Amino acid sequence: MSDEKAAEVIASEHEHEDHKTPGTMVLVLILLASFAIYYFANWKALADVWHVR
Amino acid sequence: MRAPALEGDLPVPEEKPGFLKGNHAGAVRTCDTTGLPVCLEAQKFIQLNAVMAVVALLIGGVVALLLGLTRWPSVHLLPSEWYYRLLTAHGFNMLIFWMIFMEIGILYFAGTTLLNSRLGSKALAWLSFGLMVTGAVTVEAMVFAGKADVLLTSYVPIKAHPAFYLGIILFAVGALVGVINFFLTIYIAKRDKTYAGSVPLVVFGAIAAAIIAVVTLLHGALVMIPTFTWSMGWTEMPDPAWYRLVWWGLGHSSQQINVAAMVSCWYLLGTLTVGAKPLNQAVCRGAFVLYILFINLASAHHLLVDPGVGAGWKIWNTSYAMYLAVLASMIHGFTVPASVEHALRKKGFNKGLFGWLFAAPWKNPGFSAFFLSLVIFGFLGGITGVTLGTQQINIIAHNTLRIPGHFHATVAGGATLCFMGLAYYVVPLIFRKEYPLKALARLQPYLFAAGIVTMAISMSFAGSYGVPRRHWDLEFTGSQFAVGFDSAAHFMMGIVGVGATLAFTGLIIFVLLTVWAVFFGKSNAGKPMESW
Amino acid sequence: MSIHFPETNWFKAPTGGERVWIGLALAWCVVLTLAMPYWHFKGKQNSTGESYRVAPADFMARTEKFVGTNKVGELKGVPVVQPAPGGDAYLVAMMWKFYPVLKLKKDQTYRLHVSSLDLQHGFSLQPMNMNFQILPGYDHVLTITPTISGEYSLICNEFCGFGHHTMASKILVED
Repeated sequence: MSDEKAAEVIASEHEHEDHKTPGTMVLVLILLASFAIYYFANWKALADVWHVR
Repeated sequence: MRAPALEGDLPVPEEKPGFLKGNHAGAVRTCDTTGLPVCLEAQKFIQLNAVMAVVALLIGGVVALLLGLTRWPSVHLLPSEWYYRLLTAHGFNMLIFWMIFMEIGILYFAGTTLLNSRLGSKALAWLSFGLMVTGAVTVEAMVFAGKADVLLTSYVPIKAHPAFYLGIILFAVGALVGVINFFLTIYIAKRDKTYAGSVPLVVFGAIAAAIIAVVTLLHGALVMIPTFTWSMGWTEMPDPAWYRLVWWGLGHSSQQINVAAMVSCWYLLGTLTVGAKPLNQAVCRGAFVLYILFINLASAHHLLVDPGVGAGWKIWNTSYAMYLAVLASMIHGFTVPASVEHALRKKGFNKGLFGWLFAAPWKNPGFSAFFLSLVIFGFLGGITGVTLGTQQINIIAHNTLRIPGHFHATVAGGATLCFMGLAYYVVPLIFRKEYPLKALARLQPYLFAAGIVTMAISMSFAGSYGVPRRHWDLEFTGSQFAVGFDSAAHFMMGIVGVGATLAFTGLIIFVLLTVWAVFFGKSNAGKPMESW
Repeated sequence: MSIHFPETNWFKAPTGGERVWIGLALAWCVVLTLAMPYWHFKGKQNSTGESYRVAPADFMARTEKFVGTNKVGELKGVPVVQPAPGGDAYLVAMMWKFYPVLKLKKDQTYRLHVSSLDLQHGFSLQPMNMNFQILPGYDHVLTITPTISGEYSLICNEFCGFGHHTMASKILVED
């Protein structure tokens, strides 16, 4: 296979390469949800203490 | 169940575009497993730095067990003086010596092997190593002799023996020389045209870590030199608020070196264990650039309930500086597992959402350590870190055990575990020795991870009941006023002890296996490393 | 591969899942960023860092004057001091005690000045779990309003030498 041909194959592979990673998407959405829950729970806890400036 | 497609899980690179003629003048070998060139001089210094790193890990680990058993209320092992003394030692060995020695080794590896180059300068490498060892030994001597019971942060006006500060300065200068040697290596590789095009992603990440290291170490010099001259009686005491600001430019930023180095190693281990390939180089590299630009101001997170700096300063430095760095971590948190998922799906593990995850080589400690590190860093370390570093929320967290709960998840569960995973490849590939008792090595990352997770979570809970960090006695024995903590806090402190013991078990197995492999392991020179 | 040289034209805009995630993460970072200024104006708990330079001896003198005028009793040999609602209160931290014991009224606001005579200390109110830093040379003003009555412990949570773990006091809040 000539170099140009090889390059073509690689390029076309790239175009058609399936970049779908649904599992990772679910994992990071779980991360974001836990993040939001923990974060807002902490604001809630903060709201319960004495007032201070 | 090992997937057949992963037999001989080291992917031998099919193509090595970019490698041109090396500049090694003969002192090079070709790796029998990956086919990559290994500069023998760099190999020696990688080995030296890795050995010192493991020594520090061992000292820090033994000390950690004693500390864990002290904070376990029903054990309460150490007398108070020794608790604080060993806490100082623990901080230096784990956060500074283990990490930085390891990272200098990683820089030498990335600069030479991945760029097909020789090491920048042998003399600088010796100078760096000599200074770092001298500095580290000096600090250890001062701490264990009881002349520096000031904890890692050594907040002025508390004062240690001058040699302690001098040791830190020597170590920092040594590390800086090592980083300069890395930049020199890259310069030489570029000059000698050993490669064409852009540097590999792992090298890019290493450069990010090195740039952050320069900024960090300059902060170190800026704060430690006047503190040293003060301890000698030559100058006035540095202002305590100024000291905190600049010290954390060293203290927090040095953890960002770890983050950048750890993320680079995630990509490296992803490639070594499952042949993962970043989906989009621009995204991964862009995220590293965000680290360089925005992470160093994280110093502000330690001053959120301080006098001397105002609300505007606190909020500005928390948000602008942190959240673009947080964005960078969240991006890596996607791109790293996505590259693994993509690689495994291409191998045919396409079943459902998580078929690839179940088919991953969980028996390979390089993979399990890497993936557990990713999960622990993101879910425990990252989420808690951003939350605790929120300006106002810090009021209910500052200096409680919630803080160590956070950073044990990032530094121990994240960076340390990742570097352990790296060792499972460094020893066979750079030392060319096989690990003994492979079954035990396979179990090790799980033990360590379980211990750290247990400890980090229980510390966080105890901290939310107000239990202070860096504190010998929950009962306040001998205090004028009785202080009673919730019984849940006492229970949580017991779990901290259990977690520490478990993590120590994982750590000591790692150290023993690694030392055994390096000194008495079966040589694999001339043939590929055995498959994990 | 992350350890090999990328193809020449590696610069591509993110696509697909990556693009979605970057958008989500960025949006979340904006939420995180806006939350703090929002709380600064609307929230009741803020650390504004109001502080003034003060020599430790001067701060001690102010505290003694405050104790002299407002003392209402003693607890374990330490004066109990009740500041006027809306007024200034002083609290000194030193190795390894706090001075004096404060007696406050619920829902009244006080300007609480805290400083240290020697090392850095921590102001950690338990079990409320509110924490502030105390530095020598800085008069840290906490404009504080106790919203719940009771007997609170005040502990030091910054390492201050070998007696650190015995450093504790009380803050009393009555209805």
